Amino acid sequence: MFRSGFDFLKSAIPMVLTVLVVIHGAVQAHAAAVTPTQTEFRRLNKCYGQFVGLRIKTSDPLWQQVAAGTKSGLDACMDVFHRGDLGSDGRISQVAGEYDSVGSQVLSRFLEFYRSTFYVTDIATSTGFQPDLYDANSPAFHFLYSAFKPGESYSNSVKRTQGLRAYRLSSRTGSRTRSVIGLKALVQYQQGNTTDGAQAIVNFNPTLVETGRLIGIRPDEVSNIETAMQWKRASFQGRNVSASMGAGFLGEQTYLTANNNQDGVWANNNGTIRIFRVWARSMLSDSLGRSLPALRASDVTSEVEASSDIPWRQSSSCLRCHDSMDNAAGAIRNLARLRTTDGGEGQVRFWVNFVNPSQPPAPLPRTGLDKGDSWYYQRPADFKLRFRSYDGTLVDVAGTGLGGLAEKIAATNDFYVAAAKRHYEFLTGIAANLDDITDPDAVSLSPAELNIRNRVIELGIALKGHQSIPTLIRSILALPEYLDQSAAKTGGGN
Amino acid sequence: MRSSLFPFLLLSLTSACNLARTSLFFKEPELVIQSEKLETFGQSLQLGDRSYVESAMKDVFEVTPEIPEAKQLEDLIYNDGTFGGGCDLYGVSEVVVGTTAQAEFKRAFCGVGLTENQSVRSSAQRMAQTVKACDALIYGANTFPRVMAKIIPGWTPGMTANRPTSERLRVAYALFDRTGSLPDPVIEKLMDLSNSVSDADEAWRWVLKAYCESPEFLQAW
Repeated sequence: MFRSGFDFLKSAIPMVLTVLVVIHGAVQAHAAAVTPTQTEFRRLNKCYGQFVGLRIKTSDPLWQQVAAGTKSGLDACMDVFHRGDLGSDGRISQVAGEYDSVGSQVLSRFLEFYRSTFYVTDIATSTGFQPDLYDANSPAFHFLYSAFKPGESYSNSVKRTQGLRAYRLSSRTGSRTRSVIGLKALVQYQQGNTTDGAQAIVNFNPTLVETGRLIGIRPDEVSNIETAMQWKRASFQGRNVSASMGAGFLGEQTYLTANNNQDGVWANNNGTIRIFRVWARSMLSDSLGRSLPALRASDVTSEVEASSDIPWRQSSSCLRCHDSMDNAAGAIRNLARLRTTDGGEGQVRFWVNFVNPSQPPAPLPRTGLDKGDSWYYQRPADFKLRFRSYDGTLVDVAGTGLGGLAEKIAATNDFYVAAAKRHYEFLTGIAANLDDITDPDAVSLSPAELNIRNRVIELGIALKGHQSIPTLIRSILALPEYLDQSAAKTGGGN
Repeated sequence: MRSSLFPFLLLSLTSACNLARTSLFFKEPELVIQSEKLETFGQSLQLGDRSYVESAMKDVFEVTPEIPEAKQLEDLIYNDGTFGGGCDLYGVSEVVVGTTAQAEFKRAFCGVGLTENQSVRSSAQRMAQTVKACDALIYGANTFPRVMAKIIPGWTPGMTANRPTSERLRVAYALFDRTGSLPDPVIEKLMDLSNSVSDADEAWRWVLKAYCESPEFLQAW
């Protein structure tokens, strides 16, 4: 294995050790002595590596412009970022008739980053998920679209009423015949009922997600409609199995499936045992950056019923989580996950906003968490969004449906501060603590931690005002800690 | 052979773990530097992933697709989960060659779940494979001449006149770390140490090995 020089190498090991230590120590010691040009090179070098995933070549025009002093490293970084910008057709720009490979890389890198920020990062184990029909990336597309579609507000990540779909480039001609998993033959999607002769199994051919190099994102206007699906209930007819339920990433079919704790049960949530609380847990984390418990014991005192037959109603320790989850889950109480067949590999499970033609009885008085209600899933999708903000404020707002929830989320500061935290950590490698530090039980933060926390909060509040992810990213790249993490300890200016 | 390398690997790893200026491309909350000083403000390592590390080595050693070193590098750095990085199952596309379906853009996927990235983290295995990759390039029949030609235009093997000099050591270092430089005392030390190696090519291999495995190269900032 080793070449002819190994004997030499073996004897030289102590020397190499010495040199590594000497080089490393010297470079570290000289870090403060870098020239302004070196700082600009370092900024470009780092951002290019993060945005494109490759080391920038010194022959790159941007490097040359920085070397010539005609462009700052910061401006060069933003030039790289904007290579991922989506045009009016939702695609990146072309260079000499080809889609820009750097722009494609930028989109892919940020897709990977956004995907990594979700509470549930992989849905491979979700029952009945069809990866060729539903794009596992689709929740992350909402953050990507907000970042790279010029003029798109960040709040649309959670307010967008339409789903999103990828444009991908492949040299394949014709339609796909193989699955994205292992290039196996595609399953034949089916509808019908094996137990009912009048509803025999028939095939259907929905539009599949694209595969290949990512070159854009667009609103999903594909209608995979099941016009012939008449088994079980007439109200299933005409359903688009690809339809978003609204509220940006929160209503994507993929997100609902990835966070579904009610599989095999459709439309019979009762507000207690059966409720979409896993989705609510993830919603709190993915949109607001709040982990459970998100309430203090004193916030749930009025909900405690020591004699309740519902276990989590009996103590405040359980209710500190259940209050937030169960109240928020009301926003999707009308959703159900239906199936196109009663079994088999070709079965498609999809989410619908179910409206039952029968009229439920008058709503129960809502004095607290629902106590068990067989009509729960058909009542208006009322919810409460209840959590302690990072600054200790008790957020306690009510509304109806996913659209109503999206509005309430977008009105908080937490939605934007959570975004700032994720981008800050991605770019600087520094994790900010956004716990409710006014909680009497909270652990106190060090001065350095407080500086970082305040920095991130400041970035988040600014994002709420300008709504621009490129502006947020530019602000972070300009911070001293982008190139020197230790600068974050003191919160020094730029 | 392996046991003789072990102390070297250990020191290299220790050095890499204590870096403040490395790059983490993906969120890795559990990856926190084991230093009380740094933990106090939530600082984490930033390491280059498989894509970055491979491209940096390709850039320095002029690795082109047709030479065997390219495949060695891909196997050691890119196709191994050790270096971490993004994965995109949907990035792989099916194309039909003849009557057989084949994967196009197969480098987009890395064998984990539908949407998971591979963790970018420091490890003994990562360092070991970095050392092997550097060796493969430094001893590569194509790559050693190519990198030497960048340091000494017109370089030919085995010439005493091509021994390291202070200026050449600086030129060589700049190939690896474009945004930093070595101060004079370090250059002098490198000169002293390289002078103890009689063969000019071996002296350069020793220098290149030190640079290739130095944290400043693969942290890049």
